[in-house]
Amino acid sequence: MILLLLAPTVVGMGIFTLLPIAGSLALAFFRWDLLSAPEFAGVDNFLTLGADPTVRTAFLNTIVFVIVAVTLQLSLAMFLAVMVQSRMPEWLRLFFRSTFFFPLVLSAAGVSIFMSYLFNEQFGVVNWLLGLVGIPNVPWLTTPTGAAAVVIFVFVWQNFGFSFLILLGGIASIPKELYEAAELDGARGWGAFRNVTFPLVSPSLLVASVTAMIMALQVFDQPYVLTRGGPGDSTRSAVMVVFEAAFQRLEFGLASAAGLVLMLIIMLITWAQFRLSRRFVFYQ
Amino acid sequence: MRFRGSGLLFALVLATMMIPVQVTIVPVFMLIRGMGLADTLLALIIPAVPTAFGTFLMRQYFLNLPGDYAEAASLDGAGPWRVFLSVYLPLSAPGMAIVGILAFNYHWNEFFRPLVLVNSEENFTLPLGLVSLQGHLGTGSISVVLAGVVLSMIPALIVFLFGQRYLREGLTAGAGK
Repeated sequence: MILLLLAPTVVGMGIFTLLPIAGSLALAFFRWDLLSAPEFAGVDNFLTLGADPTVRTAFLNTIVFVIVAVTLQLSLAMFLAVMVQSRMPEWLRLFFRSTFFFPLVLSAAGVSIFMSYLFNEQFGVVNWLLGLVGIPNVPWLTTPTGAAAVVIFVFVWQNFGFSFLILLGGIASIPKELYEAAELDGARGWGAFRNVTFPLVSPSLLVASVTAMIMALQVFDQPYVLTRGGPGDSTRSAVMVVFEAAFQRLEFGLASAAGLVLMLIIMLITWAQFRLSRRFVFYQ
Repeated sequence: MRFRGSGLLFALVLATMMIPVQVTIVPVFMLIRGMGLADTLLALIIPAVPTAFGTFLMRQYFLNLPGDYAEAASLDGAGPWRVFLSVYLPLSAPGMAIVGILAFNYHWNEFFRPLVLVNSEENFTLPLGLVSLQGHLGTGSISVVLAGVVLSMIPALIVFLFGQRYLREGLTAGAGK
C-alpha cells in the first residue's frame, strides 16, 4: 500500500526533478544545439560564461539586485509587522494583514505589465504625479538606473507580503509580559524593539531572509516583462542568461552551466546565512 | 505515514525544494520533446503534478492527526485501505485545501515554464497571452491589455477572498518550524 501511494510522486519527481538535475550536470560539459550530436566540451562552457561580459554583468546585476531588494523588502516587512502588532482594533489589524498580503497572489507578469504603463515616460501616472509637484518627466524604463529602480520596486511591492507574514507570525508569538517588564525598566518604542522584539523575532527574520534571497536570486518575470533586460544589459538577470542561452540561441550546454552556477550561488548564500545565524539569531 | 525510510524520503523532498526551476528546465524541455509533448498543455501539466512542496505539506498535516484512530478502526476490522480512505482522507481535507489553493495560485500565475514549454498561441496560458498582447516595447492597445490584466486577476481575487486562511497557512508552513 505504501509503495502504491508513494509511486506517483516518487516516480514523477525522479523523472521531472532528479533526472533533470543529473542531466543538467552532464549537459554542462557538452556542446549541444539539439540538431547535431552532442560534443564533449570539458569546462569550456564555464570558461565561456566567465569570459562573456553580458553573463558577468547579468550575474553582477543579480547580486546587486538581491542586496538592494532583499534589504528593502525585509526592512519594509519588519516595519509593517511591528506596526500591525502594535495597539489597534482587531478589524483594522486583519484589514492591514490582508492588504499587505494581497499583491502576493497576483501574477508577476500581470503586475509587471500594469507597472510598465504606470512608469511610462510620456503618459504614465507616476510621471504625471511628479509633474504636479513640478518634477520633469523621468525616463524610468529607458535609462539603466531608472529601469533597475522600477524592477526593484515592482519586485519588492509584490513580495514584501511574504516576509511580512513570516515576521508577523514571529512577533505575534512574543509574550506580552516581556514588553511590560521592559517598560518597567524604561524601554519603550525603539528601546523595546531593539532589546525585546528584534532578538525574539530573529529566528523568523532568518527564515524570511533565506526565502527572500532564494526568490530574489531567481528573479525573471519582472525584468523580462518590464525591460527584456535592457536598456543594454542593465537589468539582465542570471535566469535571463539561462533562458536566452537555451531557448533563443539553442546553446543548451552553456545554459545548463549557467543554471548550475546560479544554483551553486543560491546554495552558498543559503549555507552562509545559516552559518552566520549562529551568531546573530537568538533561540529561546 | 511513518514507515522505514520516511526520514530519508523527507530529506530528498526538501532537497528538491531548493533547486531552482531554471536548473531543471533544459532537461525537462528535452524530456517533453522526447515524449512528443512539445507545445501542448500536457507539457505544462505532467511535470507539475508531482510536487515536493505538496508532499511535504501533506506529510506535516498527517503527522498532526492522532494515530489512535487507525488502531480503533483496525480493531473494528478495517484494513489499511479502509483506514486511509474512511478515516484519514476525510480528516486531511483542510490540508488538501491548502495544497490545492496554493497550487492553483502558483500555476495560474506561472510565467517561466509556459514561456519555455509552449510556443503556439492557442496553447498560451494567461500571463503569456497578456505579455504577447502587450507586445515588446508596449505596442499593444493599452486599454485592451489592461482590461486583460484585470480580468486575469479575478479568479486569484476570488481565491484570495475565500481561501485566504489556507493561502496564509500554506505560504508560511515551511517557515514556522
